[in-house]
Amino acid sequence: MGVVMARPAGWRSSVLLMVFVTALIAVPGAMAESRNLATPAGPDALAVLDHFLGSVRAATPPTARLLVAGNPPAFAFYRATYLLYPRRVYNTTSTDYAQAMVAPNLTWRDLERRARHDGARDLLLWSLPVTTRARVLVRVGAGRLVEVNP
Amino acid sequence: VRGSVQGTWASAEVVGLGWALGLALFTSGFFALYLGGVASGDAVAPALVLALAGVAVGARALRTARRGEPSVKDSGPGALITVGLGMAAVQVALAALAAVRSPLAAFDAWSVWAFKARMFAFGGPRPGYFRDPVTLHTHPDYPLNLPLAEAALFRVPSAPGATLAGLLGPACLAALLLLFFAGLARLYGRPVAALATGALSFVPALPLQAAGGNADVPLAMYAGASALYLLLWWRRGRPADAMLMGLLAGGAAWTKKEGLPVALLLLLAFAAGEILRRDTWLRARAWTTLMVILGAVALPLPWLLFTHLVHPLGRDFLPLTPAEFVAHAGRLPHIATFFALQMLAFKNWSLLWVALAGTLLLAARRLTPSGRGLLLLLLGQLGSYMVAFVFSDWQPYTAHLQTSLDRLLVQTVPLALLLLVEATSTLTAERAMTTERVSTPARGIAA
Repeated sequence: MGVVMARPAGWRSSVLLMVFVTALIAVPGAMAESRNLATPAGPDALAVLDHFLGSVRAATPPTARLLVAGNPPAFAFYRATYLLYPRRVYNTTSTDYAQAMVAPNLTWRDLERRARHDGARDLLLWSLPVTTRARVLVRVGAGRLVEVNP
Repeated sequence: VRGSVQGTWASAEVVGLGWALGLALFTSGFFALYLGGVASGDAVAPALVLALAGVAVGARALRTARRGEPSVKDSGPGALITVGLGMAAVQVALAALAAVRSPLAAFDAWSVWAFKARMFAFGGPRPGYFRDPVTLHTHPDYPLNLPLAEAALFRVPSAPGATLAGLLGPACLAALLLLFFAGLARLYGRPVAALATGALSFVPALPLQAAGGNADVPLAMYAGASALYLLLWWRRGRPADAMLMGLLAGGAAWTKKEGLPVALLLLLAFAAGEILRRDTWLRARAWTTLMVILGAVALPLPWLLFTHLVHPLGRDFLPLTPAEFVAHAGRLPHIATFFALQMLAFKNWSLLWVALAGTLLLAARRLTPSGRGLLLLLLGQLGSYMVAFVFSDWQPYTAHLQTSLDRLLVQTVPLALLLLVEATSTLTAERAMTTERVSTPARGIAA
């Protein structure tokens, strides 16, 4: 059984001051949070991209290698890397912060060359106006999964 | 009544510590087994058994250590306990709700932490992952405490793994609040402890980040709880508190990269306190220090050995050399301005930093030695984050600050609130003593 120590000196003012401090943090905090709760969360806004990547996952084997060309380039690549694992995903541009938001200006020929270099048999296009006669395996929203000729 | 007073915080402490240390023990065991050649799918069950056994043994040892410990008499109406803990419970529930509505919504939550979790859930990382520049954006050099816990949840059959993984943040927030209540109740009584816990839960960034799925709230749990046990060790001198401080510091080092300097700062503060102490034998102090250091190293040891041998690729920072520091030291005033402006962002911190600054201005000269120790610890943590941005290789480095400063500051919130409570109690204790001194002669004259 424990021993009860005496109340610390100034306990009444200590409690009152703590009530004040708690109110000082909790009242503005509650107001800020009510605004935060009203804001929709991030990835839900990209449900179409996720839906497209889900279709790509269903259409490719786990050992597949894919090249991603998207707009914005870094985001499409990151999301594909996450959702398509264990498939190996390559990017068409550097993912450093300077180029993360700049859409690549690439032709189908450039993309084919990059895909062959990376050993990728499929090309994943997201919101990019690239024209090609190659076979489209999956098409969802602004996304296309295109077969690259070996 | 005495038993129930002690029982409330003792149960909260066992649950909080069981979660925090059990989680780290599970993931550390998981990683050690993986390094030993066990397939990641087969490592989950033995690691879980190890963690549960560790928690059971630890809970029993804690009960023994706490036996006969004096508790502070409650200093205020019991309704305040209900209000404070009720506030905390509501905040945890809201964080859990947000996490379920949008699992792993934060950018790093899926691109870094959950990606690694998926790797371990689907047979382990592919060969060469830790040195592969193609997946450099997933930060191969970040510790694996959170991803390995998520990996186990991703493997749960017929359950939405991402939703379960998203609940780890709110669970860590709940554990932090329980530990806060339990620890502060031992120092200031339950009403003050409950109010402080309620205040902590209402710092907006904390539940927001907990719901997002980043590793910052788990790190805040380890770093904040470790600082709390350091304060308890300084004030009450129980070896169990020192040991728990070390173990939790180890949990911080195993959770995020910046957790390592935070853990080192905590150990440095502990060691400095031991050097300054004169009330016990040198041999006893050396023994306690050794136990704390061993405790701190135990949990992150497999990861520290692995990084020493493999050197996983990192990004975001220039080499940590004096030449780089001198070349970019001109950033420091801008970085300090960013910190000050961020601390004034009420939507993230409410009035926490303003209240802390005001209270410290009033109490600075009267702070107790342990209060001064907490202040130095907080300044050290903030200072280490400021210096880190001097080495940022983002172009421009201000973008790095803008995208990560709020997450870094979340890690310091429990320590800041701890200091606020200590400074507040210093203020009122001083006031009570002054009133006592003034009123004593008056009583004498009246008599």
